[in-house]
Amino acid sequence: MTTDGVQLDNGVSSELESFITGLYKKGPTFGLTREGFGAILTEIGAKYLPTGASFHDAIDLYSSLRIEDLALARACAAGHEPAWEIFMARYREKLYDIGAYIAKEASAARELADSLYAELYGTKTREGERVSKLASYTGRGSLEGWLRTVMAQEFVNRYRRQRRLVSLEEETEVGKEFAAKETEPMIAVDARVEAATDEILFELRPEDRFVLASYYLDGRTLAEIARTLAVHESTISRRVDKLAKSVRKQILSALVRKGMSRRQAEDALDVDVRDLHLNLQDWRMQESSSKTFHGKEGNPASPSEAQASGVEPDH
Amino acid sequence: MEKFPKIAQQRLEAVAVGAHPDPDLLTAFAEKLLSERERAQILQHLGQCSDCREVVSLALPEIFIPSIPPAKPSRLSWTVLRWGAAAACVVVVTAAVTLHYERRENSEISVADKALETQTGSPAASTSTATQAREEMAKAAPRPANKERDFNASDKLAKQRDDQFKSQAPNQPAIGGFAASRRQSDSPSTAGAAAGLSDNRVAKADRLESLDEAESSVAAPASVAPMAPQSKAAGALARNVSPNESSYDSAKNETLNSNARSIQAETAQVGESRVKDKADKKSQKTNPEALQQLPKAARSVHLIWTLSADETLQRSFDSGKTWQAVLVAGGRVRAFSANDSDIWVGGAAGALFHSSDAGEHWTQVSPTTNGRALTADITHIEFTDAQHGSIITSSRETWSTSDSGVTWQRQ
Repeated sequence: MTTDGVQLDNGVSSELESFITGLYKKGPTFGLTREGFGAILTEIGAKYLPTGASFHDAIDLYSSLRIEDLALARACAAGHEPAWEIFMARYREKLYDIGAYIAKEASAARELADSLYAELYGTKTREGERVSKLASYTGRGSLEGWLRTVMAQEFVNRYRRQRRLVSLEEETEVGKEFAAKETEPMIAVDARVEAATDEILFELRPEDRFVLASYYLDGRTLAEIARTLAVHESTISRRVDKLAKSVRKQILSALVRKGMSRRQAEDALDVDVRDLHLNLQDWRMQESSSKTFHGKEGNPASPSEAQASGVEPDH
Repeated sequence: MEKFPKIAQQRLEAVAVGAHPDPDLLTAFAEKLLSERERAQILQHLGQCSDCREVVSLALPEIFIPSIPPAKPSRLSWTVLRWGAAAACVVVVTAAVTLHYERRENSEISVADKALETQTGSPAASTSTATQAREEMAKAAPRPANKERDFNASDKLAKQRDDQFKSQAPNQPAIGGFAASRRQSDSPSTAGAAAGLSDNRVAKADRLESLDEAESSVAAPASVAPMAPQSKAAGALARNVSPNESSYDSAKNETLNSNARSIQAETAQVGESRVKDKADKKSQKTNPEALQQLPKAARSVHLIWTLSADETLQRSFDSGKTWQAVLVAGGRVRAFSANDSDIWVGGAAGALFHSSDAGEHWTQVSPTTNGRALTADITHIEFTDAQHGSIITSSRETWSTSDSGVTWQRQ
């Protein structure tokens, strides 16, 4: 017998089957049959087990699953009414609480919760069959945690969509001045600086990169990052400080190895690429004798200035 | 914080993001359920994808419930130490005042003893009698129930003593008469010297004895009671002692001073009892056994219940700052309903438990009706108060009770 991604011989597969039977008998199944339950676990194994996974890898994976939550979710997805009643009793109110926590605003929270509930119930159909989002739940984490994650994803997607819509509205409003989109700097920073920085960042451990990105890019607090990684806040504080020092030091060393002097390397690191871009624009504007020259606040230039630039002054 | 190079911030952002992990993996990451390999993969993606970082941040539970139950709060927290130090200071001050007062009394008595020995040649009554009487009275005296009444009683006693003192001053001649009769029987040399002392000492003894009666009529607290045996002992001594004092003013001053000392001692003892009561109340707030003695409003301020992600019941006595796991017969809890310290929990196969002392002790309840027992999984419990509640099971049954679970009805 084989499952996708997992090659098992008959002796081992029978052991796996009896293990699955044991899991099936352990908790409530909310109307799922043994065969249906086995098919679900096989599907999950195919999704998460790497090719050539051993019997023990499969056992470890199946043992880590939230079997009861998985059975409830899949029974709901299959349309078992008693399972739905249990799901409603356990999670209906929690959906609104989660929405309130994520959206922070009552009407948005309710909309988010109702929208997710509809997707969970399966208002959409495919080939005549109801499609429920619960069918994608695999029991790797708790069902409540999964609901939180799904709702958070929906919230982030909506917020992104909303930002794009606002931008479009601003662009089409007559007479309203809107800011131009930010573009990449027209002039590149010294290529050696970029290369050295990329090298050092590539060598960072995944967790260190996550901490730096959360702190410096997202602006998260030390407490929030600590909560995500389940460590103390002081640990994150020390780590951020240590990483910042280490990254700076390593970039400087790399730049010196690439032929820069120490002074040049330090100057290069302290320059903000955005400042370079703005300086370039100012330089271009000062050099230009174009007709687009304007005085301050949009007023026409003074006659002497206009004459000097070759522009006819307005009267 | 060390400055992070701006170019590094820019390059950190400008990375192509791969496929987003599914919600199951992000959930398992948030709940610390991934293998090391998978966790590293997720972190790799999260380091590059701000949207997924945002999702993970939002998906973390509002109240962070650790997978390992937290350690019990240390008994030696700063607040406990601070109040303990304050209580210790009060005890030390009270002990010092009491000792000072007793030494002074003893020194007065020893002075009187020496004077008596000098005068009569026989040892005076020992102070052990007074000490024994004091101890007996202290044991027999009840603890004050009302601190405010202590102060009022002390003020009343002080006033009564003054009044008694003033009212009995005119009686001196009568007492002096008794002394005079003694003088007649004594030798002239000692009788004269003894006269003045006996006048005042006996007068003082009688006044103190009448004050003792006044004390008992006012229902004075125990802190005042120790005065009584001392005064009686002092009275017993006074009949045998003949000091050289003879003025009314010095006797009055002595009585006033002793009143002041007694009031001071009472105040110190009452202060000590106040601090001790505060410390007791504070310990009661964190001691579940003492919760039952508190009124419901006080109990409900701090006690919170919740179920962890792995269906372990947890409680908090400090509004969620720290949590303790509560094991209920080693099983997983699927539903609970709590009214302060009264809690019902339900699990698989009809397992139903009840505790009325915040989870310290549990009783298993087996609902039955018409000979049929509840055997289905309990999915929902709701108790509106200690008596009325209902249970919903996985087999769509509703069981209700209106007598705290003694009898049940099934719908």
